[in-house]
Amino acid sequence: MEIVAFSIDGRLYGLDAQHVNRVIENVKIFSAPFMPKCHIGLLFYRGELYDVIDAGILFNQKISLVNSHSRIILMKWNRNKLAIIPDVVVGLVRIDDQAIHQGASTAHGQKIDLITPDSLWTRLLKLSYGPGKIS
Amino acid sequence: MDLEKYRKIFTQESGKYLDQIDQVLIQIDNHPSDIGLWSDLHGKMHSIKGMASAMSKTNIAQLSHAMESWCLAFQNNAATAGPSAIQMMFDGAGMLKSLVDQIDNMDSRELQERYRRIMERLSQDPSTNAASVLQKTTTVEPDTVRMDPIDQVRIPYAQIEELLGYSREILMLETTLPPIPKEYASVKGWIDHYMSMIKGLYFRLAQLRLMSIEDFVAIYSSTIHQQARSLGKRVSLEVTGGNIRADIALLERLREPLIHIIRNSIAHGIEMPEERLRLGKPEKGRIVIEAESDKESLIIRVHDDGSGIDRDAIIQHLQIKCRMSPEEIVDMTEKIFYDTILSNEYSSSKTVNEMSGRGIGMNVVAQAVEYLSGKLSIASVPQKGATVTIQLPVSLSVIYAVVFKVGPFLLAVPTSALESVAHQTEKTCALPESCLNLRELFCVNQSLDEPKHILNLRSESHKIKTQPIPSVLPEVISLSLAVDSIIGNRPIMILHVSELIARTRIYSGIGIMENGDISPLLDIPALFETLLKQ
Repeated sequence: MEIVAFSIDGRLYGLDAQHVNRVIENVKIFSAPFMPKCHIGLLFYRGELYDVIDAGILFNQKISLVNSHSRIILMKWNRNKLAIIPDVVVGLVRIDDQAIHQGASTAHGQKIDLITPDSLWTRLLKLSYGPGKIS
Repeated sequence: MDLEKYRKIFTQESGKYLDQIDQVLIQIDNHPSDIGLWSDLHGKMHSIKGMASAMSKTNIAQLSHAMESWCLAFQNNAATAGPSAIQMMFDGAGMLKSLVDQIDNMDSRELQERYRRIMERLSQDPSTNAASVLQKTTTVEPDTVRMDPIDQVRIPYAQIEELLGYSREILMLETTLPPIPKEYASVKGWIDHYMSMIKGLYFRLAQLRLMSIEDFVAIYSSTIHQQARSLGKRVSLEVTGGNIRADIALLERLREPLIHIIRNSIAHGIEMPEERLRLGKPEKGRIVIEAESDKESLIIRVHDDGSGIDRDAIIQHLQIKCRMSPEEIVDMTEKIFYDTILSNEYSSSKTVNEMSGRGIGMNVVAQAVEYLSGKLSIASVPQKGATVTIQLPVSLSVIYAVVFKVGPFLLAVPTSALESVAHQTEKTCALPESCLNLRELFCVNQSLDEPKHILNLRSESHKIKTQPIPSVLPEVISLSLAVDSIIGNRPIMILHVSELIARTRIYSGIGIMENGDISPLLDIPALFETLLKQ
């Protein structure tokens, strides 16, 4: 299988490439009030609206490294759409399906944590929305 | 009376029936003795005849009546339809198409002659002559094959999305336009004109995403009839306000809830034919889907003339599960009483499983509607029927909204919700008590200047919808919003909110402005209710 690898705080993560629609940059993002800190806004790309998530904050609660030149991974799966911004988008990595149970890694042997869009979604749904305490 | 409007509806409706007639005739061609197909054809002819009579289109009415008689003969097995008879029906349908195109006018001699020949052939008794006479009449010079112009094509919805995406990207190019020196003013003028044309194109493309409620219902009307038949019931499905159009993405998500509601009407609301006759009702149950729209919402009501919702079961549930006294139940408004069946507890309770009325799965329907940022309500009158109302924010249509800024946020409220706009001056620096300071609410840096503008909202735009209304508040209070700056009254295309955004419960949609900027649309009553709960 092919995965889109990206890094957050020096750690590598991978998403199944079939859920990744495109990687874009230089797109205007519009923030909305009452959303969790990791939700940095909305973007409209080719007629579709994406929630934009700062992956760094979502994963590690660290200070955001997002800037206007950050690369954005657009994901589409089932009926959901999400745009995530990691620290660095590493690129496509091919993994042997047979060896996947041993864990994914780069050609240099660096370990990649595979994540699913659903796990990201579940994580997002657990956050607080609306007025009051925003996580 | 707006005759032009009715003429348009007549043309559209007849065209739709004629397309269906073509399809049925193709099936009849393969199965000429299938009574069901002839019955189907008969029904469609009858519909055209009815519409034509109502519009005083006598030529169409007479021709469809003659064709109807033939259908009846084949439907009753009084005659067997041979190839010539079927060809006769094809010719008749072709003639009907020509007449509908010409709005019943037969100005040309060719058309008059063609009509005369067809009527002459149809005037013969199909029960005795269907096969033989028609064989003979085929010696008459065949009608000139009239090729209808191709004026419609089907394209996949995804293709519209793609076109929208491309035009969006062209619009985005405007933001990368380098500064143009003054001496090239004419070039700048040309570019401005070009961009305004692209914006117009984009908005028109967005309109392609709209589908009429009638077409939407037509998609599953046969499923509904089949279900009624399988339960031994007879049901007519009617649509009013069917020409109202809504975003296809919204309708797609509405499909399941709506089918569920109609299914409930058939299964639990509409009585068996013999029972209906005993009650003095028409044998055939009636389900009406009524669509209505205003600037901000699409309202769909599903009404049936069945037995209504079982009140005793709800009372039983309220007493046992909610531990309410009979007095408390009596004091409930009808709306709150019937909304009981939308709760999770109700649908999963034993009471519901044993009841004969509605309730099963209605909580799922309510959740689906809520997901679309909509509202669902129920009304019922014993033995008269039930009405389920779905109110949805208009999605993907263009509305006018006042767009404003609060700190880093670009937001909007529908223009129709606005009473007036006031500008804060130094003399009136303190905000009125009824004014909601959005900067404070959204925790925007308070060290900046005070908000400069106040949006005074219409009182009906923030009527509290929660029942009962908290006693500390009147039903309607004066409300205004303090904002930093007003961008202006702009047309915005409304998309429905994502699941994450919907969790805030304060937005009714996401607005896309002509320049591509995104401005979430505040749902004023929802915002107010959310704040009340804090």
